Amino acid sequence: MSRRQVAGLVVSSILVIALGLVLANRVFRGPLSEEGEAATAGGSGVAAGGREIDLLFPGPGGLLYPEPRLLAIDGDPVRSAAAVVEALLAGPTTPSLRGPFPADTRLAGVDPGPPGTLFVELEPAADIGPWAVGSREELLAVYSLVNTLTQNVRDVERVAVVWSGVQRTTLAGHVDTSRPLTADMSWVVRRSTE
Amino acid sequence: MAAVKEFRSWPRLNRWLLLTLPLVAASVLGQIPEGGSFGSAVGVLVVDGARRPLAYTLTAQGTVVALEPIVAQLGGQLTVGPLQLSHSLDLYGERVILGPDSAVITLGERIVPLSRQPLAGIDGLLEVPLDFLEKTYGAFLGYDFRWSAASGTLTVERARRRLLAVELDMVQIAATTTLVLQFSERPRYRVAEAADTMDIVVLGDTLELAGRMPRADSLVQGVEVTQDRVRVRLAPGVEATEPYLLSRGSRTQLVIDLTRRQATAPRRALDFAGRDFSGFKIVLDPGHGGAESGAVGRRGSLEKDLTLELATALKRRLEASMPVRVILTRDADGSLDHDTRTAIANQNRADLFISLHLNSEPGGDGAQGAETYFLDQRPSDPRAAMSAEFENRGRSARDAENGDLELMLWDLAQSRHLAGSQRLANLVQEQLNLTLGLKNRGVKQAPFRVLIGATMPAILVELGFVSNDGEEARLLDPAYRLALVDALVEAVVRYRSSTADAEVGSVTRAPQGQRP
Repeated sequence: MSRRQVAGLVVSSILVIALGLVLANRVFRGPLSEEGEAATAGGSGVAAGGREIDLLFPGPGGLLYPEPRLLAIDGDPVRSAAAVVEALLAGPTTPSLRGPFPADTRLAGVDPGPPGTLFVELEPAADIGPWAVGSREELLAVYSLVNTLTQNVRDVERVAVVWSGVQRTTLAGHVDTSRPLTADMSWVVRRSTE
Repeated sequence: MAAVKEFRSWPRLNRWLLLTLPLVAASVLGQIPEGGSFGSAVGVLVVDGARRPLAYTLTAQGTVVALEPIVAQLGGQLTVGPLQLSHSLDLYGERVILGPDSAVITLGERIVPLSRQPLAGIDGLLEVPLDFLEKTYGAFLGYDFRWSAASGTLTVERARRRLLAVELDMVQIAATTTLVLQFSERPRYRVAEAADTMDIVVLGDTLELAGRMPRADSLVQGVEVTQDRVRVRLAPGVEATEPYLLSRGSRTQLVIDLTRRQATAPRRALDFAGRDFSGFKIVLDPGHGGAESGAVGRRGSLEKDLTLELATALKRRLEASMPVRVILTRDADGSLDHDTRTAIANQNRADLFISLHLNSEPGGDGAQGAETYFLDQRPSDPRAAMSAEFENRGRSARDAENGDLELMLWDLAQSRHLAGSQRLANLVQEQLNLTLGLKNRGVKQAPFRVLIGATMPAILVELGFVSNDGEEARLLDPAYRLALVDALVEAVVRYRSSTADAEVGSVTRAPQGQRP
């Protein structure tokens, strides 16, 4: 084989492997792929010049599932975090996934705290009293917010959840929200298993 | 374009192979379940140049290798627990507990996550991920591990000796002295405690003091740095918390908090012939109550009601089964905040704290089965919490300092009992699986408020999903609830037996009493 053939082989191999990985990545997204692509193309919160990120929504089996979304993520962590939270509260486009918080919960504010910490204030639509859900549902809600923000917004390492103006000990009787939480990706579905 | 022409000039078979092989390889890699394996093989273990056979398995989450031959070569004692569900590895004074179904291990009193759970491999021998070796033999004894997937060879070498600069800083706030050792690189170390000293012994490296020695205070009489250790000389009656590492860029801080030991009354020997209630105490916590209903089933069943029924039955059944005093955090429908529940356990000096719950998942009918939790302390970095609380509350600096200290001590309460909590959680989950054939959702960690601050082994058990129609129906059946209760009793008896062995002998179960 001549040098030119070897060079051609190397270049072609690189191109083909890259193509293979791109295709494989689409396969690995499993049941989310079709809905996820639809969300990217036409979901709410689409912003020109933004960045595609994975929003994490509760789904089958009590896990968090990534749904790709193009959002206005830039160098401003507060503005970016607000865009992410608004998109989470707007809910998923994939039918099998659920919104993490009670319907009509709105974002009341995002405030930077000490370095690495972000305060996210949520406001339920009405005084719903104690949130009547089990621990898994509460874990998924909290880590939908915490994981999505810490994985996608620059400089955010911890998220403190403020509920109706109060940093409560828990939202529904289980998860300690009295302090900022770091990401826990063990609640996120592993792509190749689904 | 030249490359394209070249490509076209190749034989058709070569072109076909070139195009399809990467796609096939990528697809195969992606389709294998993460918990699954590519298959087992026998490779080579190389220690000090000597080669020995080593079984290993390739999985989508990385390679796992047989532990037994490594222990035989590098030292340590491996003990297999009953049913092969847990293994204990003694590494020259450091005890490691691991099991085939858990991606976390216990190192002394610390809980350490692994990249994946160990596997029960060929002939039932345990196979462990490579990071297990790094976190045990690597961290404690300074071994380096290199894995060659191509040849199936694990090469073990002693790590090169590093020169670690260490700076010391010490501050006393209220009744606690915090000693910070700042290392130039992450150290491998073990802690050796004696009556009046605490040694941080670095493994495989050489220490060099940088900066000045801190001045002694009322809790610390002095600190010495030698080539292999930092020795802290403690004032009489002072004890240290488990040191913890904080990373700051390339530097690593080892933080040790020192406080005066609390005086405790001498413990009385248990009297198994009678029912000595001053001995073993369990606090049962029926989850939720009052305005907080907890999860709600489609048939209208409320978590708070079911947990109260389960806890009441469990109390009766436990007291009929073993010498024990059982205290309920609530015995009626009423509101009770989380910290009060934990405080009830602490004030009663309970030996175990068990919070009973029922689960739900968002809108779904899919999830079912039991899962058992112990505390995940990851989110409770005391210093992060301190600063955040300070910002959030807008308190005075003095209030903040006092409150932060309380918060820090509250956080540390459960950290000393995490190993016991994990043991209890494993037993409960195992018993629920064995007795009821429930879907094993496993032992997990989460930052549950009710577990923080418990000064004893503490777990939260989710006994089923009321959001699942079938499981809700079963939970409404008294006979099924009784079976759940019996599984919990069995787990507690097994836990008590294992701890009593270290005290005055194993617990024998009392004759079966009346059923609840």
